[in-house]
Amino acid sequence: MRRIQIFAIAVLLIVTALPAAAETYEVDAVHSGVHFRVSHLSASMFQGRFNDVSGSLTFDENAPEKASINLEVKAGSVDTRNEQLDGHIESPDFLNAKQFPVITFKSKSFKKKGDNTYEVTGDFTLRGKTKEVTVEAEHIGSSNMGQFGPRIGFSTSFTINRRDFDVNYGTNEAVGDEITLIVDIEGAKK
Amino acid sequence: MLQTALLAIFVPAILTGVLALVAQRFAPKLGVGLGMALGFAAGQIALVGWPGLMPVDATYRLLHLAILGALAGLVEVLWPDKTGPRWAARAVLAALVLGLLLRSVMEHTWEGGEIALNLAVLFAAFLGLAAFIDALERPTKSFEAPFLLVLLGSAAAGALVLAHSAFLGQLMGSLTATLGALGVAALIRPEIRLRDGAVPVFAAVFAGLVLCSHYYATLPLVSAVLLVLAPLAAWLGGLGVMAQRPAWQILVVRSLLLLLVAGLAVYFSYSANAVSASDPYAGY
Repeated sequence: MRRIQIFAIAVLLIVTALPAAAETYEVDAVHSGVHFRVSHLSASMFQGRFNDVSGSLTFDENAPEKASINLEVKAGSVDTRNEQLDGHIESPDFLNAKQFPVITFKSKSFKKKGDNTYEVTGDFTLRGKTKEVTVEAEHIGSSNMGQFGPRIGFSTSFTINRRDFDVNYGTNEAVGDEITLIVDIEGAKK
Repeated sequence: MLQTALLAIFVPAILTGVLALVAQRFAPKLGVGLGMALGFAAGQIALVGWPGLMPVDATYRLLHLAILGALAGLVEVLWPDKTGPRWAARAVLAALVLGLLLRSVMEHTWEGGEIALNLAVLFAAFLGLAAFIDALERPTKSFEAPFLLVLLGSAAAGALVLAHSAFLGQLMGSLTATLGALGVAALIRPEIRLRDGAVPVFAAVFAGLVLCSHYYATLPLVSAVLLVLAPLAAWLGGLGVMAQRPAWQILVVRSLLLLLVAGLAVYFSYSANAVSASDPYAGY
């Protein structure tokens, strides 16, 4: 009997010592958000958001280099609380959302940087043009609360130059060339 | 705002007018279509920069279509009395306009037989537009057709801006500026006429802008159709009993008919894109 107990404890120790397998999470569209911030008329910082965010992420805290994230944002879901402005941003002046309906980010590498921070490099595609970007993402936390099941959250903000993506209309003074994207993602285990 | 107006309106106008007039000295007729194409190209570059040889974005290919239109216009200048080469070049141009601008619509929006049907209708509409411009110009003084098309371009620019794209509206403004310059050049040198290579340039860019505004912005179909039909309405104004009237009266009637049809296009664009009463942040 004692031998069996020792064997069971040994098995348990070995199992817990093994790295946990990478988990795949689906982006929770309700609790995730992509906001943008851009200067307007060189006078203020203007904010808007995208309402349709989807994608998936795979993450294993013990092997972060194997993590990956794919995000898809519907360009036509832009929301500035103004119908006319939404229509203008979706038009060929800016996002050209009918021709290029999605904005995507596909990670290529994931590196641990600090306690909860990771350097994520990936391909960012906007208006049909793809450019590699590197962002610093913070792992906000992980949870497993009752009916919600396993959850994980990341947050990042990074700045792009809109002209790198052929969003060329308007002067820098009218609508800033540099656009900050603020991305908060909550993933729910599939 | 003033800088944009200067670059997108005056630069195309000056470039087109100077090229059309200067070319009359060295190579008569070659400068009309080429001047219009280069003038429009200057306007687009002023607004959004040089787009590269094969831009991903269809709306940046209008510059290329203007140049292709000038090449089609060259065929018309070289064989002015031959119908075959003229319409063959226009048919190739129509196919290029549809292929370069609507590929993503064909891939993502239209399905099955809809693709062939829509392309056939648009192809016919393009050739029809070119024929309307030909007809509009034939019995008139050389400045009249550019003048009428300036009215059309101005109204169309308004309709495109109302359809949420200031960029496309300003490009229409650049095209209109080139027509204005050709109208002034025709007053100075009456032998300058749109038929000398400018009709394909106008048809390619005008149709291209209307297509982009309808498929990639929010120009309603009815407005797009009315804008294409407006030159036909103007041409009809010179027929029947009007044909016997003095030239200035014909021009007035044609202008009014064109403005009526183009004005309806603006109205429908406005009403389709009007701010809803529930929007508390209207008029950003």
